[in-house]
Amino acid sequence: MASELSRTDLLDAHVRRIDRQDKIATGVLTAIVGLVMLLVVAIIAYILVRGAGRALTPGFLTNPYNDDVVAGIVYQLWDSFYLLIVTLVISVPISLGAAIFLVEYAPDNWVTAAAKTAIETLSSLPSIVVGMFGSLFFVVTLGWKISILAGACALTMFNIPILVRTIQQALEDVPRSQRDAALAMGLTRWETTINVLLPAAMPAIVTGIVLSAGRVFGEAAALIFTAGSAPARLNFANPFNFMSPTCPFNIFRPACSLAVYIWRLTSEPTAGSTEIVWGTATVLLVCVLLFNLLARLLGKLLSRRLTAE
Amino acid sequence: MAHLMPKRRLENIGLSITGLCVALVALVVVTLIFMVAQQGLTTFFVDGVNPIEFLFGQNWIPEQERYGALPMIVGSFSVTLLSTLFALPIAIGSAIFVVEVAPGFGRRVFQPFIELLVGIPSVVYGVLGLYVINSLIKAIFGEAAPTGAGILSGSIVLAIMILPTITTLSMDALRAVPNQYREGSYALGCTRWQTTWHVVLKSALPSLMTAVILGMTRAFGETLAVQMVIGGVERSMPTGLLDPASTLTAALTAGLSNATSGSVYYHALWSLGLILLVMSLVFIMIIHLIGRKGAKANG
Amino acid sequence: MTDITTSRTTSGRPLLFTRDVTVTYDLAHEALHKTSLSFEAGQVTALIGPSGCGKSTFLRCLNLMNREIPKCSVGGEIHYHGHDINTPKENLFELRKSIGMVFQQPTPFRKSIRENILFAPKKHGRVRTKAEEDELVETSLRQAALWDEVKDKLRQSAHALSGGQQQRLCIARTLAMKPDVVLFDEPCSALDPISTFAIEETIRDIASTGICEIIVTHNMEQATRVSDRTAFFYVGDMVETGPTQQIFSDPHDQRLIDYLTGRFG
Repeated sequence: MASELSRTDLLDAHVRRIDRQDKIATGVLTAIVGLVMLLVVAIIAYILVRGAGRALTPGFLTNPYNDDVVAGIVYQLWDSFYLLIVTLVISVPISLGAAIFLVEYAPDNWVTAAAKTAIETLSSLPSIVVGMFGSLFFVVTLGWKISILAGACALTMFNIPILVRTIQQALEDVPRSQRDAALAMGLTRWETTINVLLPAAMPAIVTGIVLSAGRVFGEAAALIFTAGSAPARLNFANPFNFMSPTCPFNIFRPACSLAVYIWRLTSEPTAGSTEIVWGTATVLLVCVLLFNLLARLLGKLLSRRLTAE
Repeated sequence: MAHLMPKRRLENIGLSITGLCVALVALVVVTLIFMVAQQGLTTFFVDGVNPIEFLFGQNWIPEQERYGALPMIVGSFSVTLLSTLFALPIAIGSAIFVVEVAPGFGRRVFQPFIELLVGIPSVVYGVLGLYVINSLIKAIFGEAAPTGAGILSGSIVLAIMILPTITTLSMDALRAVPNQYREGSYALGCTRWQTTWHVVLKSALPSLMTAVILGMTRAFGETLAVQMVIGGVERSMPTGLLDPASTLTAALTAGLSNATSGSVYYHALWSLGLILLVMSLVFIMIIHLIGRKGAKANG
Repeated sequence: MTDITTSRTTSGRPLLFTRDVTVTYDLAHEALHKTSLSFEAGQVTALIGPSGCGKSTFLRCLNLMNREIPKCSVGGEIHYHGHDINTPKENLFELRKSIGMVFQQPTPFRKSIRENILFAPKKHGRVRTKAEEDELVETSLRQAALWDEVKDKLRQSAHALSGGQQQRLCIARTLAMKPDVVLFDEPCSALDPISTFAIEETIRDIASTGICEIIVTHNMEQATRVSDRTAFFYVGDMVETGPTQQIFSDPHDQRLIDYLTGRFG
């Protein structure tokens, strides 16, 4: 009888112990998550607030960097967007093609496996290695010099693995039955992909492209030695003299993006550069956050249109 | 409309166009590996630098033609390991919370939140590290950290940067654990914590390891954020976590603009790039090994 | 383009027949063993059997859809209009124009009702003018008994239709290609009884226009309602085949008897 009692006592104690353990664990986990959320808010708020003064100064967004009164970032802003556009023009078609091949055509053999490994390798390469390769291959071997084109190609190498993966995922998420139905009507994989799969996958693909654009927009290491780090001098008054080094559209001129500009100012500080760095960082962060927001909105909008039409 | 291409030819054209895209990517990667290897090995085979001295030499002083990469190698590995150590418990902890405790909150609030961190460019992290974290370290440690730059501040910045990578991948890993496992454990009267600890984490272990390795890959290759905060001292071995040091990526960024192409220094920098390249291949191999083992364990 | 009249003149031999068709997945797992069956124009054949018996696998051989599955190999002969189509040289795009297929789940594309019908004929260059398009849309939808329900909303998304309507749209879409064989892979398993009844009627109507139909079903009553002939599959083997009447009233093989009396399945 006595032993019986102590056994239930023991069991009770055990239950209480594991119960307490469960409560403590939940408490600790909640604290961690609270901390992480606080960290995210703190980081973003700090950057925004710290640089807001400079970023909102009239002229900062519209003046060239060498303005005597308010040094601005208009050239860097232009170069960032222009580099991004050139990069997307190169990387989107290649990634689309590669993703379609991997999803639709890829034979199950070592060639495909090697191609997949190559893309995986590209995705894990440090961006400075890509930049270093670009500074030799695009700049010297192909003779493009330090230029927007060389920079965009380096960014493309950085962007392709991200894009290929998201497009691949988007295509694979289209129900198999859609693909089978089109193939069963005697259509080619090509027609099936272009007319059935791509439209259905479009919301996810657009979201992926805009998200990757945000990543590209802030990338600097791959650019320093391919597109250059010296601020460009641009002449917006004469935009169509394409071979001129001051032509904003010339893809063979050097360029300096916002991100590279920040890096340059921190590594070679001058009087008052700290404020410019914070202002530029704020602008850069706002742009990237806008890309994030745009990606979500576009994705939602497109999928709503798709299902509603 | 009047004339349609025969289907077989159309299919071959589709195959060729998309195949060319893949071939182009593969070709660029092969060229990259080849070029980095060729330039990086020139240091040893043409310029006559001893590879053993290169890998284990403790001084990197190009003016004196001393190319010992150990300070950077040690720097790279220390920031990688330290930042993983900082980020890991936080990442796994939050992943457990948002998958096991509050899934709705996780999907709707936490995930978009943590993805904001991914979007922040690495130079912005660098600025934050340079002006905020370095000052904090200086304030906390005083004399011991005269500039605040060093392995510790580099690791803190990196930990924040790899936190979202490890967290989101861990969340995916935990979500992939079939619900029957949890229900089976609850049916035996286990608490949520016991279920998480003994059942969920155990069966998600391979994917969690992959998440950690991917985070480490990112930390090892991260360039500008580290370069801006670590202090950039390659000359000699780091003696503590608070001394200015350098990493492979930081030394490359700083050195490449000064080196004239064709010089021994230039080739030595490529050798650093070669080490980075080899390390990323090693990380990929580890991930594949884990994946294969996981597949075998699950039958 | 082959039409129904030429198929009937292939004297003496059935429109479509298989000889010793064997299917293996993953190079090792045999899903179907030496199956020989023949199908006539204007006839409905039901393929029945417990799940995993190979009936769907067999169906997917007939329009070479198994080629779309990696590591799936099909052995044996499949004769269609007098020649073996199970050869690497066979132009499967041409073949699938005249052997249509309707799937288990309704699979309308994210297009309008009209574009769903016209998509494949356009890509095959079958329609040239607006008048031809209009006519094809109307006849196909009428054949699938859907015209009256959708004639006023042809430009609306096909996804707005009900499940049964979607499935009939898929049938109409298949008929728009003017096939002489239509394969049905459990076409009613996702539908309610009323839609099922409508589809079964459509299947009978199509057969009366001289099209050869083959339908996979797990529903034995459905087989008796729609089919002229029935083939029973069991674990990768075609066990017994004959007129539907005879299969259900006078089965010979013990496995078929057990299946019909509900011992398994």
